Amino acid sequence: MNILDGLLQGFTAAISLEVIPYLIGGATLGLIIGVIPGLGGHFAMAMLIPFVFRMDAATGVTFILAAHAAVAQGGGLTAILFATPGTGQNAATLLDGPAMTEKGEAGRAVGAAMTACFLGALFGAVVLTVLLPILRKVVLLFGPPEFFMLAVLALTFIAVLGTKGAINKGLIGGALGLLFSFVGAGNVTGERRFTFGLLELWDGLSMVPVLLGIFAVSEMLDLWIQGGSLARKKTGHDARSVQKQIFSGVLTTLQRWWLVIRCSSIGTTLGLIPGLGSAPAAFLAYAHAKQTSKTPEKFGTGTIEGVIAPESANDAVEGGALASTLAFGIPGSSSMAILITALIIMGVEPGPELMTFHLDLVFLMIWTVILGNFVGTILGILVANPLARVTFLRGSILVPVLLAIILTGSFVVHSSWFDMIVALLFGLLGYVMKKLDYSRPAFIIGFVLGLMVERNLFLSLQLYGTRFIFEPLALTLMVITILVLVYNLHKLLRKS
Amino acid sequence: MSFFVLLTLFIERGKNMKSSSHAQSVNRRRYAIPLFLLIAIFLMAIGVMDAAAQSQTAAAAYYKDKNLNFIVPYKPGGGYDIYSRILRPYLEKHTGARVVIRNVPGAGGLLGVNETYTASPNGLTIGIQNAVASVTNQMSKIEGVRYDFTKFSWIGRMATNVRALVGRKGSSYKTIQDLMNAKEKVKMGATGLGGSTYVDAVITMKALGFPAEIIHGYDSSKEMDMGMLRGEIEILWGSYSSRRKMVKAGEQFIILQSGKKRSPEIPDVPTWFEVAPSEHAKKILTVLTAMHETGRPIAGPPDIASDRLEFLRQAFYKAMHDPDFLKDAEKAKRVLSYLSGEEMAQLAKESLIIEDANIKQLFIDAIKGSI
Repeated sequence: MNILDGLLQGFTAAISLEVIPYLIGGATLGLIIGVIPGLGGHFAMAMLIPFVFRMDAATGVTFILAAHAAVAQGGGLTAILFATPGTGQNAATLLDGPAMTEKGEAGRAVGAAMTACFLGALFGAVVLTVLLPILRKVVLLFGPPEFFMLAVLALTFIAVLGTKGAINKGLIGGALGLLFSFVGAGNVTGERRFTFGLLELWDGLSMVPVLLGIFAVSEMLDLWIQGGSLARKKTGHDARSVQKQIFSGVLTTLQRWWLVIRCSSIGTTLGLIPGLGSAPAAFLAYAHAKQTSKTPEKFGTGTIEGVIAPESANDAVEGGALASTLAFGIPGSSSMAILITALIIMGVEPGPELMTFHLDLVFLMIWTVILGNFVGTILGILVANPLARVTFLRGSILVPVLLAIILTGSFVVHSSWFDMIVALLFGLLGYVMKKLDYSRPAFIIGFVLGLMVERNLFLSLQLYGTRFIFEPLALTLMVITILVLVYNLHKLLRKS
Repeated sequence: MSFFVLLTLFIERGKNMKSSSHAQSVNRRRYAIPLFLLIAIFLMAIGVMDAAAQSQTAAAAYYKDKNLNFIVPYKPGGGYDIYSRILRPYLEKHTGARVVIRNVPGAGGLLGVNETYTASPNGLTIGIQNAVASVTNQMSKIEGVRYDFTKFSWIGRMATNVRALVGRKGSSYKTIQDLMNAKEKVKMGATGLGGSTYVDAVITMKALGFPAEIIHGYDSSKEMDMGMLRGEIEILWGSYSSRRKMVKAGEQFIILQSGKKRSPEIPDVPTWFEVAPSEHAKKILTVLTAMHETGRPIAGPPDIASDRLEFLRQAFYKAMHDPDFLKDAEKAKRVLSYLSGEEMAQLAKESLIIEDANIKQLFIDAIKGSI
């Protein structure tokens, strides 16, 4: 079977009558899970595992992958409308999404986010398809030295994330994030750092409660203190104008295709890094959009590019994460690990023979990523209208309800009371950072990348000694890092 | 019920006495006392069984429609989680309770195990655990251990750990002899310090005496697999079930397996006992084997009322032998190795005893990562 045949067979399988109900059912479920703060894609998939025992491979894979695909759309809705990240990957959308809602442009933001999600996923899937023949080589290009340099490159983005051009406040935010990332028993030495005798801190601070605290709890505090409603402007909330806005959002995103492509490629590349997840990709795409924008000062005040960038990146990640899963049967993320378990249950061995003997299934997966996202986008647009009206409720009504949902979300991931306290404490920190203009995205980038930098540096040194930086790809990445830094410094100096 | 049986038997006895002749009755008298004793013992036995059956029905009534919390000390999607999720519907079927899986990850599983141990012993909280980690944590006395491994209410074991030492496709070290004759240090992958890939690596390196450099710090066995594909490491230890896939794909091959007997799944691979160069090495490996034998057990907090514990053990037995469950486990390629609660309790006691002080120190050093 050649690739074109596979492409066609995968598509006909995906839209066949046996499979399509599962595609739509899975995507709907994923959207709902995504809307609920704290619950993410791997939760949706783990929940569906018991059901796949009685399914054949095609329906089962479609079911759980569609659920996983539509999670980002659900999360995007919550992020834009309720200033709460529905899943970790939507946290970056909080930077401009809620600000647009505040200006009465909720519909526009939702339209843009939903479209960007779909386009990002489409991009990831296309790249994956194109790379399919050389997938194994591409995946193996990246080892500890490359991951290390990639993480360092990502860290340099912190410099542009200072709000209102204050570079030092961006750096301080990033350093604070790095500091918090080192809490816990280090993988390298096994030494327990900053754990204060608390077992709960041994594995480090978990990402979801920290994200929910820094972005969601702090917004709730802000809304509570300031009063008013999430949408401050009292116009544009009738069903008709929301509908119009959604279409304008969709159109704007299509017009910004070049931005979508650039951000999606950031997402897909970072998807290759095992275990990194999509949250950092979204933040880096945001930073990239801000860096290349002609009007960077508008970022953070409700600009549509600030929504398009992260939402296209976070769904493009799946293309990259799927790469090592398909090429070697080695999962690139916790969600992919669950996918592999499901495949084994349904009698398909993931790994090289998947590509040789089950090419139709590989393309079914790729098509599911595309179509699942498409269904998610359509559903997201449909439910946006009624949901958008909730944002006009008074803060005094909305805050207690949302705060309860947010805290439940932080509890439910690991069923841990401790995580709830973490969310509250980081909520306070986030509020202070917001009020004093310290960069919260920089904080998150530092927080997510700290351990990755440390672990890969240590592994690289063990494996190659200090000469690891001369590995070809690592060297290339280092040159890019230096160029980016020089460019930014130049821009900064010219300004002052 | 037993009272009724007793009554009818006495009436029957009375009838027989009347109808029998004198000679027979002399004969009968001689046997009367032993016979009576026999019947009494029989009746007592029935009575005890009956009481037990009654308390079993009481336990069954207790569990009916209640929530039975099932703690998994790791995140959703891992091996322990999958084992639990496959078992769940069958545990529900045979207990009548709603089994609620709660993932309580943290501190390498310690948090969830502590939570199982300190839960109320009402029989409504049980959990699966990585027993090797539980044993090594207790043995090395790391802070944060809030349990005594020997005191859990053991319900049974789902699986043991068959460990496999695998080599990279194309590696020049094909057999354990190649490794033992190696001139330079062989790069051996491991995850965090003190984890089971690390402990196995250090202990086998010492016991079998082959030169190795342990590259540790990989985040998971998946990352190690990628590392091996890129040629960063030559060999690594892992559970057989996690290695199976890469071996089948031809990317890795198995050099050695754990245990005293070859696993029926890999009959051509020597065990570490077969290649142990000395009696001392065998002693070390006996300890390591005993630890892996504890595998993936299910337990509740200490002092669960005996009738409820017995009920749970029986339900677990039935679930583990349910044909549909076996089919599901087979589908998910999860190897099972049932052990009853009583046997598991015995194993738990044995696994913590290391008589040789030097060997004990070796294990503690390996677990703490100071080798």
